[in-house]
Amino acid sequence: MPLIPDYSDEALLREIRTGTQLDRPLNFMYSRFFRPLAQHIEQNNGNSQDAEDIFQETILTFIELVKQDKFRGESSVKTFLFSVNRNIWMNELKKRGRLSRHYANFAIGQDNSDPTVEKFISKREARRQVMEFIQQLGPTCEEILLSFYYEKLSMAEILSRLKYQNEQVVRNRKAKCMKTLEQKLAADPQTARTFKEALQYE
Amino acid sequence: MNNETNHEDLIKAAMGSYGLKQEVARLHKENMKVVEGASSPVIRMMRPMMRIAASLLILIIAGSVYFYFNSTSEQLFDDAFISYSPVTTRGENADRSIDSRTTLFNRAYEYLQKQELDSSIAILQRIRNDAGAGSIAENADYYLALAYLRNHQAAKALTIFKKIAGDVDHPYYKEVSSWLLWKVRFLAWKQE
Repeated sequence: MPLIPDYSDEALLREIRTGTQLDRPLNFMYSRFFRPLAQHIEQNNGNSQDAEDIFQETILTFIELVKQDKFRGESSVKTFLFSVNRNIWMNELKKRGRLSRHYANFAIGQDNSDPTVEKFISKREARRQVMEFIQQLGPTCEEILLSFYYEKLSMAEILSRLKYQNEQVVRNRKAKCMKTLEQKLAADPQTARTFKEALQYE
Repeated sequence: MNNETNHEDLIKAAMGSYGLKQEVARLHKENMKVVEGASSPVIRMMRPMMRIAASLLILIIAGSVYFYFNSTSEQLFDDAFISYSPVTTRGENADRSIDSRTTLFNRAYEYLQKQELDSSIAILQRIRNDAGAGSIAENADYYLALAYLRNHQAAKALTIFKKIAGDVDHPYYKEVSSWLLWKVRFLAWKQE
């Protein structure tokens, strides 16, 4: 069982923004916020699996917004997470055609999120398409590009993780993956637009 | 070239977003095990059952509270009371002793209706103790129990109701249901 640290809002935001590991802030958020947020979903037409999925998406949204300095800190982290959770669930219910007028009125009445957050949440579908597009590259490209662009590993570090002969081979492989992606995007302007839409928040 | 550079930026941003999603998904799995109490499938399975049990418990408590405050001597008396048509046995061949017992019973019944309970109880007890009272005594059983019930003596009423319930040949056997017995028992407990 992981050790659950205790964070003030400021400390939590600082660690998410600057820390390289998300383990501790996430452990904290799951231990502190999962139950009440899940309860909200389960009391409003959702089951336990919905509650888990929506919470995961809420956390992801929160971290992305914090990392991009889009969380303005006008409300507490708890209030903000509740608001994001509610918004995502309202969108999901709408998508499933199960949004009741009662819940919509309640969610809108409660909502105090800013337009940036609403815009971010409204792009859920576009982001999902981007994720699917990346998955289509295959596991090798996925791992090389993730290691390089997300984990910011050097070619030498990637080489030690993947079994290639030398760094040049890794470099070539990465270039090939990038080229494939570039070509796919060039050939499909709609997908390129979806990428832009999903990844530009303001 | 511009387009390609633009795509490269997009790809970098997309990989950043994708990587974050993967990391959050990994940590989600780890944390759910902790949050769900080591993710015990038994606990997960039990949760809906526990919710149903909790709802039932609330219903039972609410029902009990309602029942407690609505179980009164007056209410139970009204529920169990059966109108009785006073019988006149006067006639040429009428047995005088039977006639007097019937008259007595009629009087006790009138007292009961007027809520003169002590008088009604005294007469009904006399009839019951009269060895020759026959079927009048069986009537007296039921109405004495009712009189006790109305007089806030549920324990005494219960004893008589139990006797009637244990005798299938008793003319009031069908009137004393298990539910009535349960309610009188509850009232007796409340009055203790």
